[in-house]
Amino acid sequence: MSTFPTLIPNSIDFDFGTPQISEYSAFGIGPIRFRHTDYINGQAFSLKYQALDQTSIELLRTHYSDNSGTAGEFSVPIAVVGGVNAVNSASVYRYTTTPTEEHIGFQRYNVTISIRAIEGVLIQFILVGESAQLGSLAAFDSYVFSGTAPFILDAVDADPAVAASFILNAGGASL
Amino acid sequence: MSNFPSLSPQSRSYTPGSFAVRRSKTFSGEEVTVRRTNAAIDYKLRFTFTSGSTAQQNQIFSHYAIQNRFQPFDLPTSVLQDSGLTFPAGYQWIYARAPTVVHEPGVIRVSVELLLVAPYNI
Repeated sequence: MSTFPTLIPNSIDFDFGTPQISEYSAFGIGPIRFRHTDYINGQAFSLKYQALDQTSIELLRTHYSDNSGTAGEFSVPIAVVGGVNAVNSASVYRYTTTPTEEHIGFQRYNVTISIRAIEGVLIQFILVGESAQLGSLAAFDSYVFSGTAPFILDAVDADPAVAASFILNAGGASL
Repeated sequence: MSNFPSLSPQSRSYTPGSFAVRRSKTFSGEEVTVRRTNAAIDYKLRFTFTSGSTAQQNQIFSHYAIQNRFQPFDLPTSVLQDSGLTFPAGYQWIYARAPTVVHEPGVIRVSVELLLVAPYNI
């Protein structure tokens, strides 16, 4: 998990997030609310940067790109969000939207970064195929259809003269 | 294929590409994202060209008339001057929409929005 560049924005907007509550209402009774967890999620921060220089904008571009855009999670130094202690310590951040840069002069940039804090689940699935090995070669019998098309594989009402079995062994198959 | 005219914009904005992502949320507020591709799409560039004459406007409209929303093209260095922007190799630009023009007394402003697309054959 990466860390957002330690660039102090010119201004910050944020909200306090939403608790995980669902509401149920029916005739004759008032709304009933269920709190699913004590965790408050979705604190949204809007970080406004003005007149960033080339080095700083490159830091933001690189972080957005290396973070796979809005897909990946990252941590944010407390200084970047103005020391705001509104998020759970276990929260991670994601980009809410893709930021748009305004080029305001010679290598000077305005940009607004929208991020939000969530209770992230860091799961990584890795498909590893390299260690697979081919089994040893073995002789096999092959049968081909002969006759007149079309060929029908009738599994329900087939009445073979000689009982035969056809096994398709996929899981744990070995040659 | 003809490149975009070698003009210098008076203003420029840039939106980097985004990745195709699927989000799954639970009641507890946990959220999982799945990225479905390594390729970012939807890079966007917007330019405004300001001039006292119609020369720039004519160059852009002539170019748009040929390329339209169909033919991809490359950008000259003049429109990306000093921006430090880089893009995936082989990708080219198309017009995101028709250029728009605003005529004010003595000033003509042409706005152009471009979209980066993966290579394709026509």
